[in-house]
Amino acid sequence: MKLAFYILRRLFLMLIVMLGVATIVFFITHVIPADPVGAILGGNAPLETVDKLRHQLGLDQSLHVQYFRYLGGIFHGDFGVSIVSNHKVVDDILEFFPATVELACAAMCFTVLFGVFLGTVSAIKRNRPIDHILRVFSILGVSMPGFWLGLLLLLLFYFKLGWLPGTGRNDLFAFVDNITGLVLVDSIITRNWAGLWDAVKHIILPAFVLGYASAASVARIMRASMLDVLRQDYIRTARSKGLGRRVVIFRHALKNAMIPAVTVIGISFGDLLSGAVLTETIFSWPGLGRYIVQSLLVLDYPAITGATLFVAFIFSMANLVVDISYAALDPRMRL
Amino acid sequence: MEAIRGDLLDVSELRVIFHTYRGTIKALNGVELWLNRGERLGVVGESGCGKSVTSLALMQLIQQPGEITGGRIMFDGRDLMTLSEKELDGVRGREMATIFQEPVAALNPVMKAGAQVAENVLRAQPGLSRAETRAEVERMLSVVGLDPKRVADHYPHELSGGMAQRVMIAMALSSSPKLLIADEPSSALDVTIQAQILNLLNELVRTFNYSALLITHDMGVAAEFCDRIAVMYAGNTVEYASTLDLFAKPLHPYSCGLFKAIPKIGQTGELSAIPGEVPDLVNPPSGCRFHPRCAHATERCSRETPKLLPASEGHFVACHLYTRES
Amino acid sequence: MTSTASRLETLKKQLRPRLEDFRHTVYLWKKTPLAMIGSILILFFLLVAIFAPLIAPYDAFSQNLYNKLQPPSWQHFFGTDQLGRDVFSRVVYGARIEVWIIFLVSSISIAIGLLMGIVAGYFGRFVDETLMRITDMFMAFPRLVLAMAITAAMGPTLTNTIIAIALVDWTVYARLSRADTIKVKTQPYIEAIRALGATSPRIMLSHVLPMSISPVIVQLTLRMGTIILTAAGLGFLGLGAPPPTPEWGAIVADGRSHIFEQWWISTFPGLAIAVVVLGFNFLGDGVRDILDPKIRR
Repeated sequence: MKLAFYILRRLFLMLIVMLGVATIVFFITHVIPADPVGAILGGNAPLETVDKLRHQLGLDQSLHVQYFRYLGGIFHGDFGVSIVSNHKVVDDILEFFPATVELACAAMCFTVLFGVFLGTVSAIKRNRPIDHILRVFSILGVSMPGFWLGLLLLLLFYFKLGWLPGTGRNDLFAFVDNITGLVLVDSIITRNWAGLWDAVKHIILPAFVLGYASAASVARIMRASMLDVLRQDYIRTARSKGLGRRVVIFRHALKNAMIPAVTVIGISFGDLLSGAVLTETIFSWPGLGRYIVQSLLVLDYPAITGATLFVAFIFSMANLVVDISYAALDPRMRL
Repeated sequence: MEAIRGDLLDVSELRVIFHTYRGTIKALNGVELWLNRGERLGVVGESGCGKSVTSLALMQLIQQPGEITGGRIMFDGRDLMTLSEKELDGVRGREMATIFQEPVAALNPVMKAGAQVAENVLRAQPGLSRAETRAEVERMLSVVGLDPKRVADHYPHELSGGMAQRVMIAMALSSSPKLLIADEPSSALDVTIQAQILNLLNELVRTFNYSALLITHDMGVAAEFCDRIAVMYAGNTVEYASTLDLFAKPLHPYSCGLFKAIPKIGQTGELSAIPGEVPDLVNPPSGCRFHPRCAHATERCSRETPKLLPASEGHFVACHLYTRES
Repeated sequence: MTSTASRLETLKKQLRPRLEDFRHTVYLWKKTPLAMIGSILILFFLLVAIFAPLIAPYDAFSQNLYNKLQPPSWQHFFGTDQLGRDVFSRVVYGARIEVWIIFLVSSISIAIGLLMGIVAGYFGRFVDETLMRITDMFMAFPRLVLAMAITAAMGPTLTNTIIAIALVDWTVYARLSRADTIKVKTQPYIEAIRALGATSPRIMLSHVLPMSISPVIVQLTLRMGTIILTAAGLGFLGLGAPPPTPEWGAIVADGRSHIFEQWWISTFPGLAIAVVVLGFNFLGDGVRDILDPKIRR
């Protein structure tokens, strides 16, 4: 019951925050730019084209009217029409989003599995060689720029070794029917094993690059958290009950140690979204991240607005899920 | 090695050190303890004398930066120092159970109280069904005076200190241990609850005829609960006697000082305290660790650490005053 | 004893715990190879930035199209790029840009963060709620995405990049300082000072601020690395300082189209980024370990 109230309260707060987010995005895309139309069309465009575009974008009206039209549009799920693609921005987003979801999920799996497992191992074998090696890997993970690592890995595995395919999500010849938009899932559903293998080969490198930094963060906090938990009184009690080391770690320590780790996992989801921008650019992955970058470079404001809002929404939802699972994990948090 | 003195527990020459940035803390300097079946031993001393370290050492739960550097712990015929980790796991919780000082902190915050008791129940009787386990858990909780319906599904932070300690006692008793170790079980609780918990322990130990080791800094508590008392100072056992003998005639200067320091009703004038300070265990005094504070210290005391030797029937003391120069 | 001697005695007695603490910190510092290595790396980085004109053999901008795309050699340690510029010199001068970025971003984001956090924590209730909602709004964006959007809208220059990153980064410090402010606010001595007539701004400035600042500083050292990575990411995407500025991320981007044949253009600036961020992370880890009361034994 307490949990239900907590969730409701958080949802309500999120509504308010989303309104503020929309305002910030409006500020960025409508107020800051000096002359968006001029930036898009360049300096030499004829006056009628400029005026037409200005009218099309609704920029010829006062700021207040623009703001309310903008908010109205959002409520209806209408972000306007992309200047570049001429599709509705919503459609573009929905087209590119699944690819990012797939990439982010793959990276997240990597993050959680490796991060939690390696962090725990590091803590248990504290100060032994394996601990030092893992810690070096971890600290490298949060220090290396993802885009650089991606480039180097492409150089190594694609160019020099030829083990993995290059950029992109799949080869031209491996065609998979589009049911959910998630190639891995679709190929399993349609039992297209060749397509699955191709998709896996393509997703491995970007998922690794994307997940590595987050896995490193999670491993670091997992180690610190586990070390802290192992020092606690209740671990001593558990040992004094005669429970073996393994049982104590998995049944008593792990759940407690995971609590701070969950926060980091949640935060790293945001980093995954950020990192997806860079990773998708490097690997030419047809996802939302690449869409945002391309829109930003050509100043396609409707697309920028829509995509940014969308990403912020997803990010906030993810944080909410993390907070709720935090409360579910730790009974002390259900205030 | 010497003959075995207690048929359930015999600790001799127990030494424990801790490595810290300031140096090596010589926490236990050859502790001697023993206990017969059915008896209750009290280990009394001020904070820092090594009582809790001793109880952890008994269970072989001393961890880095600490280590046991010597001694023999005979428990029910076996030297615990020679057992493997797996064998020790078998002893812990089943034959030897401990109740710790801060009960709420000693319980896992994310597990319900009932589930934690169930762990002990299942260790004692593996193979019980869920319903049977549940029934046994509820039975143990009522034995310690708790309402199982109210307590079993709560988390430790939702329980009061007294209730949490009762849960710990329930956990410890689930396996009918041969030895129950209680490390300052009531020190962290409110005064009124202290009495309740101690009475409960008294009742249970008497009813089920357990052997018990009670660690406390409170001489009065030890007097009420224990048959025999071992007095510890700075990592050594300085005196060991039955409660009656110790109270009637304390032999070691430290024990005497302790008794004199207890204020009596109607007493006027200054309280008498033992002069000096607790020694620094990184650089402890040579020989007898009490000698800098002892009014009767001789030159021999600073040279030679006294051994715990019988001064009269069943009354042991570690002091050169009672031994002849060899 | 004379009075000065006895005064000295009392002073020594007062300082002894502090001195002990400090000595313990230094002991831990020496014992923590992480902190030491980190400090050395950062020092090296700062020296390179300061003495860039002396270290770099060439200008960061001069092109020499006859000499383009040369592999690393004794004349060009890191080789040359597609415009014939010496990559080594560009990386060295790039250090200056990074230092500049770190310094400004830190100052601005701490200033905003402390302001928001302390005001929110001090005045509480409505002010607190409002300011915290605003903080939430900024935190609702993934860092890079918001920074990218701001930079794109404002136009890609170095100044705008710095402002953008600072606008994304301040939220962490706001939360931290708010938590500390609340802790300090409830102390009895604050009530005492207020009874003596101290005004709110004065209390916030001279009493709350010093207490809130140290966890913020610790957090800052931990975040230095992220600031550099974000700036490099922006530079890589072309949303940072405009070319031909030798910002490290931008240099990596320069080399991207030549990555397979002329790997050196992208590799070395990226390596520089990794080393500096590594140094900050070592240092941050070390500092955190040293200050952690549980590990200080």
